[in-house]
Amino acid sequence: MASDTKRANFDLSPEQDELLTNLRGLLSVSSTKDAVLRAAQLTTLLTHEIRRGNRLFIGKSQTAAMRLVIPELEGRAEIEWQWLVERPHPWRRQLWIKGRKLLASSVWLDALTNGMGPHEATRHWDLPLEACEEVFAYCEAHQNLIKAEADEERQRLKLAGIDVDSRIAV
Amino acid sequence: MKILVDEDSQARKQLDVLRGAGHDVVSIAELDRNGGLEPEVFVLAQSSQRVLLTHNVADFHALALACPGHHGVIAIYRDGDPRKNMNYRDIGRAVSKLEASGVLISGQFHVLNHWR
Repeated sequence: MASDTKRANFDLSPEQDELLTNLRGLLSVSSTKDAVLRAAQLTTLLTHEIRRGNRLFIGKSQTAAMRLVIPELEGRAEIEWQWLVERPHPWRRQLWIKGRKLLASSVWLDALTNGMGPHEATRHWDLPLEACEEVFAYCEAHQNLIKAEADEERQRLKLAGIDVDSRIAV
Repeated sequence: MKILVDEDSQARKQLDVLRGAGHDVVSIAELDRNGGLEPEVFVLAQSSQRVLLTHNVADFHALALACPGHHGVIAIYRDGDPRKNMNYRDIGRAVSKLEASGVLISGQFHVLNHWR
């Protein structure tokens, strides 16, 4: 054995052990060490590509490909959005569509509520497909922030005497 | 009803649904005013004597309170969960329901979610 090798010892819970066993099977490698190294190489490759500004797509054909957002990778990559920008707002921190007074989540939530994907959203919102795909990718990666800001608005309205959940019987 | 549809609500199909229900509708994009701030949109609604339809509830509520003589605001709260939100047809139906009820719209701030 080479003298500069290093022994790694760590404890695994039964769930973690099962995860690694499954990974060995998925990657068709003979040892847990090979599985971990293969996964590390793959993660490193993907992270580098994302940091270079490339995006991941998944689909059975080029035309049906959809953005694949892996928050664990993209969150660390500090993506530079092309179509989304910050705007000053007293409490909102999510991004807006460049040149528009339009929150990214306005387009995303509207599309999902009406059963639309990025292609249809493009038509209804007069935005380039690239912009809509970026809106979807951003919002999917920041769902917690979007939900928190909707909750914040609900709370602020409640303080102003408006309960958005009440109904008027007609 | 004469409606000015705010930038955050002007999906093409939404405009079609409102027009299909017989409303006189114009959107911020159609007036070439995309990107305008809330006070500009609010002033535009007043100068065109239209009810403002928006999803920006909190900001326009504050503006409506500050300008009591306005032409009316219809605001739709958008939840973070898309399954809980009003779709285009829900919004169209609720606007018609609000109008048919005969309640005063001018000078009022209506949360459309109440009229689902």
